[in-house]
Amino acid sequence: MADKFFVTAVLVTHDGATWLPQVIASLSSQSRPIDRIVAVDTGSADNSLKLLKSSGITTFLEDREMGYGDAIEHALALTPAIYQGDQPHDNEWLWLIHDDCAPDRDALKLLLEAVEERPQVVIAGPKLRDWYDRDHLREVGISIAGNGSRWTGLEDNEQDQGQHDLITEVMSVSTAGMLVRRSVFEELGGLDINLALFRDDVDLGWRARVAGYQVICVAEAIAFHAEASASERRAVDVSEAFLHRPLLLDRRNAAYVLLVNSSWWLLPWIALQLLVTSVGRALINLLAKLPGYAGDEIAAVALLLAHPAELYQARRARKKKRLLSARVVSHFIPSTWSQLQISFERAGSAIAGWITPARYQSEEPLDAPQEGNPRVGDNSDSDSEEAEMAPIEAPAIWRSLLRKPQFLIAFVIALISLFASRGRFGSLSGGALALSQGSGLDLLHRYAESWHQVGLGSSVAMPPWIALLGISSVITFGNLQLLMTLIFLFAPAISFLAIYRVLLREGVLRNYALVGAGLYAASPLLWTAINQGRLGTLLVVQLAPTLLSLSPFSRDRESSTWRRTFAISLLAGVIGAFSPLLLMIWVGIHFTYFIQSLVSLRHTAGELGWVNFLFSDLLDGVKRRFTLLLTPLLLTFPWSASLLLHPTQIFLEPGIPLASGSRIDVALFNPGGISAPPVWLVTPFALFLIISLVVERLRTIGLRVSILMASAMMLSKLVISGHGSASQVWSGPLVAIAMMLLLAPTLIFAQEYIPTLPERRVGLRHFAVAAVASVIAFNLITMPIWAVTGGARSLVRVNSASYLPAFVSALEQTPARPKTMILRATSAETTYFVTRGSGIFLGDADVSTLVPPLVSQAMNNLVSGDGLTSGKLLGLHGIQYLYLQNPAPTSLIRSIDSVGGFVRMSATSAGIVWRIAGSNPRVFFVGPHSTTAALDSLDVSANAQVPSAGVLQLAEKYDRGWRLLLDGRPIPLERSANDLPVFTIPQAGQVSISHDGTLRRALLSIELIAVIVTIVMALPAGRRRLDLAIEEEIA
Amino acid sequence: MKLRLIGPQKSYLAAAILLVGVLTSYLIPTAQRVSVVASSYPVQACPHFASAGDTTASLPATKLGIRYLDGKSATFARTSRSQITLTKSSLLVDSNPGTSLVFSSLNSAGTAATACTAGNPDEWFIGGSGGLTSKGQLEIVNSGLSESIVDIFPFTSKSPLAQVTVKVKAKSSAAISLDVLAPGEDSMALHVLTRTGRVSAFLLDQRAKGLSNLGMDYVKPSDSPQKSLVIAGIYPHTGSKSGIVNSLRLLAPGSLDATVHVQVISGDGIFVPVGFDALQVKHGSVVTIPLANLTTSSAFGLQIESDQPILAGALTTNGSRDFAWAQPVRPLTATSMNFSGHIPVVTILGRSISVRLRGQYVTGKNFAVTIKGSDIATWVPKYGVASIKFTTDPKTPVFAGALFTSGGLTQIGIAQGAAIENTTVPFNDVHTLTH
Repeated sequence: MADKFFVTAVLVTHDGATWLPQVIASLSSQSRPIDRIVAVDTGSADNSLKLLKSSGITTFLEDREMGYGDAIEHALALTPAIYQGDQPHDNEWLWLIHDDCAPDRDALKLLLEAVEERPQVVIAGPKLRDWYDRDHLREVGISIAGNGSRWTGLEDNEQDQGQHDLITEVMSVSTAGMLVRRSVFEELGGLDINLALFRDDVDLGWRARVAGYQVICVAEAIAFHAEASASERRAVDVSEAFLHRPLLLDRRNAAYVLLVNSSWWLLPWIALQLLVTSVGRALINLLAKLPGYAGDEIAAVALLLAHPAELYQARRARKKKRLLSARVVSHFIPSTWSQLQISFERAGSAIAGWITPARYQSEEPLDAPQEGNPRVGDNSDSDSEEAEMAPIEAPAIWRSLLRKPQFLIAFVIALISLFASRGRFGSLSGGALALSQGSGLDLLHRYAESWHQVGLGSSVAMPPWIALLGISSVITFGNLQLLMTLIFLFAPAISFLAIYRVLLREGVLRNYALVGAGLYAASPLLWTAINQGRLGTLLVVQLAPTLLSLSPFSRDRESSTWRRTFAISLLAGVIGAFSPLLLMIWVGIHFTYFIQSLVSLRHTAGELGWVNFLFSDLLDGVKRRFTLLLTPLLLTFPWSASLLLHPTQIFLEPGIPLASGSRIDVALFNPGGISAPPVWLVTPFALFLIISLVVERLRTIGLRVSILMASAMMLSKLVISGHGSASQVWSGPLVAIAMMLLLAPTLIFAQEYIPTLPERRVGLRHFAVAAVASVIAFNLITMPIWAVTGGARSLVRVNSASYLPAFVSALEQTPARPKTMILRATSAETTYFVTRGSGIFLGDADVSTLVPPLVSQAMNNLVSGDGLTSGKLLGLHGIQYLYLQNPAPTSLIRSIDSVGGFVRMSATSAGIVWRIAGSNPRVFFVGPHSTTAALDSLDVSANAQVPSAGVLQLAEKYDRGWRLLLDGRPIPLERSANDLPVFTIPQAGQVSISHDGTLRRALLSIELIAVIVTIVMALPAGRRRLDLAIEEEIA
Repeated sequence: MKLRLIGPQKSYLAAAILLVGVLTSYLIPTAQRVSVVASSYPVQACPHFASAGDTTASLPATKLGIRYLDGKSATFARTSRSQITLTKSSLLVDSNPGTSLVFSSLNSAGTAATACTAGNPDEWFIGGSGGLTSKGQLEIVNSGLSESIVDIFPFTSKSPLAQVTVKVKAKSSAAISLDVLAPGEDSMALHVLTRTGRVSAFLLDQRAKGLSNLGMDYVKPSDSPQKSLVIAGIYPHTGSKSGIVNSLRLLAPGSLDATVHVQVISGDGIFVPVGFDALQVKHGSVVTIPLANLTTSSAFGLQIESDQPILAGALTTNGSRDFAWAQPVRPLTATSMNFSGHIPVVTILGRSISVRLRGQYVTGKNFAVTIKGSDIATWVPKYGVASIKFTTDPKTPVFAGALFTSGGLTQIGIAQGAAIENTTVPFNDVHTLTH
């Protein structure tokens, strides 16, 4: 022993025979020999004990359930301290070694050199690398985050390239290879015996620091650690490990360390963080189909809270030995921002990886050497050494993204869209797009409601796209208007990237894929959807390419994994929520396949018997097909059920109905309509269809697309009533699918055909190719020009001026909740709609229904000048005002003036307002002797005192969901002759009126369960630590 | 056996599918909605002036719905009569395509006639007097069930006067003396603007000097000012022995003075009277110009052209016995009338005249004649006419008026009393809130 130190290595073993030989070898081969080695075996069931004995190490036998701290304490009790004379040796150090940790040959030497130069250091640890992947950095010191995470400050799978080779002060080091001054170790009380395994190291480091000592990590000293217990390579048998679950013990100990060492005033905040994090992790584990780990997270907190006295005693013990504030370690504890930053970086990497999977980033084969990018290990290039020596540039993420052409083009498209959207920054509405609610929560609230305050009221199921939009507003922190702006703004760029990725996956070469994606992003369909506010089509255009690339209708789907089956179903459900037409096409196709499969198996079923058949593997494919068929319906339930009951609603897109263009427009892949690109902006998709019909191998696709386009043309002339209006069917989604189907096969054909042209004689083929190329170029050039010029004058606008007079809007919050009939008359048509003071918001049109026949008749009579009773009928339904928008025919104004019951209030250039004489408030009570009283009302419900027996009338559309409680007792609902809900009140009392949403909630619960199950099934299953460990070993 | 398509069969099938799609799309109805148009004629109001003596409403047919303005019921009752004597209040005639007329007679001291009208929110009356002899009145009939508000803008020979606003209760009328609206003004015009309500306005120009009546006639309402006007049917000044004197009243209500060109269309030819080639009319002032030297052998008409929108009315006086007002008329369309046994002088103006008249004399005998000619044609029936129906080709516009001479002078323009009103059936539509 050439130095002043005396080192006692304490090796604790527990079923570690796998690693022990190498560990013993590494200890015995240290360049600075260990002065004394003792081992503690805690009841190993393998041959660990035999290995120890055969290596000549003094070994103490302990109980199998003994913890690590206890084992060390017992070993030290049986291994007296070294004395120099009658004084204890002041330089005796303990080197704590795990049975799965093999220090490098110079580890001890380097550790001792470091502590020799730093007398204030009492704990030092080596840099830990992975046992199996020897370049993989595991730890260079450790800490603990506020939420209990073990914090190493390293990236995932960070490779050791010497980047951390400094001696650094750390909060603590792992007990695997920890060198600790024995006197201090004993002074601090050793490892906390409440921490039988895991986190005892962080706790010791924290206690050492608050006692005024220093802890360092000597990075040049290396040890290889298998982390056998944490990775579940071996069982955790310590008595404290409830159910022998390592994660549970780890989480419990992490919380313990934080709660016993932190300053008292921080405890509430830490407790809250631990609780929230535990719940969050539990949810993530549930989603990852790891219910055991989820239970560990929750049980860990519960276990700790079950023993508060333990915490109290531990805090008292620490207080006695604390010289400094617990906050001296604060700079070692990562901030919340640091944790978020790492999370964001990981998410960013994942997204970038998703957009450009490595194998699609180049059209060259991966094994082909790239110019200027020599392969690692290729020494033929004389510059390779220089290249290796050159400083490694770490470009910003955005810079590296822009260097890739798809991102550069997407950026340009986004700029064009930005310029084209110069009038669309803010609260968007117009065309098919209704006004946006204030926040996503408002939208979710509307989705859950059973009664909608639209027109005279509606109990129609709100479509699921409302909920999707509400949930998506999380992206913009609940700001729905901002979300809508972003969706419309970035739709072209996102569509470009989505289809580009799909084209690469389909085997299209990069340059061809860029052109194809450009055509897709410049398609009239997309810009029409933007300009007309067709949210559904816009999202279909962005999402459907991914779905179609998964070949959802292929026979292969019957043999794919359940996870893939659910993932496809989930995506189909999301798309179906925005396009009922596509949802029903999806259901129709899968239903056909499902029946086909069943029919083909009918003989087998007869042979096996139905019971055996149902439980046989033969039905696996059919079950998957059934899942594909049923899941999207369940995800959109109960809306999907209403579609099946009212099939014409399938043809209605989300939002306000808006007419499409002519059949010629549709045939040219331009669904047309107001503010759509002109037809002369020819898109080449029609040519692609012709090509697909001419080229033999593309004919199947051509046939399918022809069916789609023929359907689109037929549907575009069909007039459907619904969503509060009647309009021609919008066939945009069918055109979108046709475009997607055509693009990849045509481009693949082009990339194979065009290179052969130079070898052929100039002829018709050359001219045909030149013509198609000209159309493509024309489209790619003219479409952006149109988009930023004429296309910028879209139906969708910002802050569209309200067409309602201010006084109508102000009525919304009055206690009587009156309604206003808005009437508009042109030479072409006369229309009306009942408002309660506000305009049409997202979802309103989708649930809007016809007015009762009596009201409709009253309006007919009013307009035709025969409406002697119109005012009375409208008044009964709570309509207090009639507002006729200008310009209006004089004859109509005179008719309304003349029929009686309508008292002219004002006439401005905007319109004329009449008050309907004797109109009822929303809640109206008729007592004895025809005495009447208006009762105050909220939006849907009402609470009031009725003075006597009588009849209470609600000026809402009749619905069986209306309920009235008189002093808590239900009163039967009746239907009046005027189609209004009425209640006969037997006596005076407190009434409470509401709309019963029990059924709606029950149906939504089914949907919610379907959504959760589908998401869980679709997500990649989380891998158990043991699985990861086995993979590492195999690697 | 499984159907499998090979080679070009797929292309043929695809083309066939596309073709079927296109053809089917043509078969699908393209209407946005089943858009039902409800056509109806508005209710016509027939005025009753207490000072106008005996007043009879002549309905174009029997079995029409009628009700009196002050009646309690708001519904119409069918009547079997075509002659209704008005004693207390104005009469409302339910929608019908014909034109009802009102004839008033004051003890052989003047006659007056006018067409019952559905009223127009924006009407002009170019005629009347607020002078010393004036007994005339403006009657505002509110046939609706709500109160109406009417603004009256009087014009005089000097300048427009301050507006007068009148509120008329539902199912009632209000009469305002002309000398109140334009005190002391012999040359006046009125612009009646209805702010709210279904209102018909009538103007009775009645004059008296002491106890002796100087005659009366209704000033027929004119539409909005126009640059081209036709007055069909003016009594002729046949010579120095004739007591007939005509004059022309003009008003340019805009902000610019008008240059007016007046052409006489008569059986004697078409000519421009001296001084009427480029007549200057100051805007905002009512101008009355005598047609003193104009002598024609028969009833005639006037074609008035102007560089600014103007209004006009022709006054014919027969000494101090009676007078008649003739106002510009709209082109003749098919209409039917009941002349109540009178013998009218029907005067028709037009480049190419071909008007079919069918009807019944008071004798019960039917008649059917076609009046043909160019520029001007007149027809005088042999007997008193009960009902008469005019039909013409709308492609060649003609203008018609009828002069009555029994018991005094009065003239009516022959035009439909109420234009058909089309209303589309209203639909509940969410677009009402978004457009």
